[in-house]
Amino acid sequence: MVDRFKYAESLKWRQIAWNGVRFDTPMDWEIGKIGHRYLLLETPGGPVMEVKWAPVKGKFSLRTQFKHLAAAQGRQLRRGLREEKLPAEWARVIDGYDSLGFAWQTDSICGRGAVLYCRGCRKAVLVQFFETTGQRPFTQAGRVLASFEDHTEGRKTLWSVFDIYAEVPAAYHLKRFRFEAGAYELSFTNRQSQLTLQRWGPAAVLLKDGGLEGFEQRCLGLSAKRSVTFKKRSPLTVELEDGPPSGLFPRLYRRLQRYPFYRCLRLWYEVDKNRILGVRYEGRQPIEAGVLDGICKTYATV
Amino acid sequence: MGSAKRMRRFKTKNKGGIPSRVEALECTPVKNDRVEESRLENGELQLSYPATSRPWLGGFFRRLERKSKGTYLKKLQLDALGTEVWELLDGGSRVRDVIRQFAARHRLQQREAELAVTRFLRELGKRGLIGLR
Repeated sequence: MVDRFKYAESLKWRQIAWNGVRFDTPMDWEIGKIGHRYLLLETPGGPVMEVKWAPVKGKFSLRTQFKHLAAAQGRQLRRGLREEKLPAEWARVIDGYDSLGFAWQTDSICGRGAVLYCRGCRKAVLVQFFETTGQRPFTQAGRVLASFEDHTEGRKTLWSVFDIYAEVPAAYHLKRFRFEAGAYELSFTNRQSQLTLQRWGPAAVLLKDGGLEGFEQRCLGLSAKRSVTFKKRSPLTVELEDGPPSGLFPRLYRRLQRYPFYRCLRLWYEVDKNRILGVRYEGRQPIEAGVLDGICKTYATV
Repeated sequence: MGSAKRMRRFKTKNKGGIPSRVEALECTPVKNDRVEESRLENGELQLSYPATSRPWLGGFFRRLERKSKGTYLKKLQLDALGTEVWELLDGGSRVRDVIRQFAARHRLQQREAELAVTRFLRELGKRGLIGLR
């Protein structure tokens, strides 16, 4: 028991924050699958943790959810799935939630988890940990659950996945995301406008021909429009802006096309991380003063 | 007997020796001896390798030119990152080592480097430019 405790303490931890949910995990737990309200964490040895969440409308019953969960499993797993009292450590750290513990076992892997319901934010969460030979996520589960939060506090939502970290105004909701080798993209919308966070790497290779300006022309092409103004804010930061056309007919034509009037893109080069970061705004109204600066200030790679 | 037949019908397909992720990372990529490398002015590599034309295409050429075009030389130009990965394939390094070196060189996360390198190696493998040992 003491060895297990030492093992858990020796690991380095980091925070994962995604779509309103955040928790700490050991550094070697990597995101294997990601969805709008889903995360699967794994190590080279296999999956270690799964989290799903959803807002609840109307009545919610933990036991009914557990029955639904059991019904969705295959016959073999359904037989091994049972309701189980939460371990004392887990129960202590998640006492703010209505909770129901469960466990299951197959020949090669066993799992233990909980269905949680927060009366405050009316969000249901299913969290479970998988244990195979050579992996001991149950030892770290208590600390993971202790750090678990599903409320968006204040006016900003935190996003911290893979190597990106950002704080986005809470009014913006995740619309789509893309995590491909070399290019990450998170798109948010608040109905009136769209905000996109982008990240490219390795920057040294991408910026070889023409620096940030050349990269923008090659890969994004916003500067190809005549109406776009190009600003070099610093040697490592460029900004492009596009406003509404001046003539009445072009304005009407754009309005008919439902085309955003105001577009703004800020790109900067993080030399020490070898990444290019970009924040793009598109909307019918100009972005509020300070909002873009605030996002760019917190948006970074870790 | 009937039920046994039915059981066989529902049996899952054998995946036929497809290695797992961990096994694939332990493999050593080896270059095809018949691939010729030529360096371009910008430092990137161009690979030339013999390819066999598809039977129906071969038949079409035979009819058109009245001679067989069994094999022909195909060329593949690598970009800067592709050139770098190609040069890391020394016949002794495992896929895992190549990924580690690539990630360290570009300060990438291990997982991101793994995706990029394995996708590139898969493409090279499809063209017959490398094999896994």
